[in-house]
Amino acid sequence: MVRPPLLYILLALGDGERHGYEILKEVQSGSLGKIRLGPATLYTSLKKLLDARLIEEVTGPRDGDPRRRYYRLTGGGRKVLTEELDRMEMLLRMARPKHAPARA
Amino acid sequence: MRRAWPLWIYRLVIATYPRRFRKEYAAEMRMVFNDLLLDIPPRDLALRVLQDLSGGIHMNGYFIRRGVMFGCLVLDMWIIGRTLHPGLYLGVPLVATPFLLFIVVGFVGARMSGSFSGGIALALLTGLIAAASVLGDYVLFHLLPFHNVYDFAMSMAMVASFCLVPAGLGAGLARLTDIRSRAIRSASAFARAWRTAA
Repeated sequence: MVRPPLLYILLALGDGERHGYEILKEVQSGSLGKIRLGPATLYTSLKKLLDARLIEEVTGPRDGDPRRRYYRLTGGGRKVLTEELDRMEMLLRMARPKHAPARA
Repeated sequence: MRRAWPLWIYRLVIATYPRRFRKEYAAEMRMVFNDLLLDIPPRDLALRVLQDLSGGIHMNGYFIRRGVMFGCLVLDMWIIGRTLHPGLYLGVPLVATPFLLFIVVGFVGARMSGSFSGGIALALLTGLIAAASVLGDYVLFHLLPFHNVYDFAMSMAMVASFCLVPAGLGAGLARLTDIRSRAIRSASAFARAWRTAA
């Protein structure tokens, strides 16, 4: 199971490469403001994902800021993300009928 | 308008992280902090940095433990001073000892973090813990020789600057070898450039 901040980072990188601050903003908007990463937490998480080879560092786009480091999902990262989303979907499918509020 | 002092404070915060992590990510962290400074209110940013520090405690725990240890040493000195001189507010005979201790704090902080800011950050942490003596004086000995908040703030600022001077001295001493090798490198680069131009 991937911990929420890491999962949101993987999700943020799902549609292409991004630099640190873009990831941070994407995580915040994707979690509806519930996960607000600080710079150290962001880079600790990115380091964990890099060490696990779920993401990789890439050269940024031509019009991007050359001082920034860009990251993107690896094949392994995409696989873990898909598996995690499938697991959540299955869990929701199982849990919804039991815990959905009764409708009139 | 962008203010510079939050960035300086954040440099001190970054100095508490392990050297290897800083070497790899400090520049990026400063950039992200800078972006956040422009985007979100300062109070939210301060909260995020505090959360960051508590979240990263496993990383900078050793640094924090050292700060706590030195802070407790200062508190020990305060207890000894109070026991020997119950009526004296500052424990004057002991003033030289914290001065020497803060040189050590600055030195240790700079050596641990590999930066001057690390020495200052450790001294600030030590000073923060040592500030418990003010509360202790009031609670245990009913001593609080401040007439108003302004007096209190000025006295604390004086004590803080008193602690930061020796800490800076210690941190400077620790970084001296690095500064010397940089100076030698710069001088030899200058000499090479001069010879090439000639």
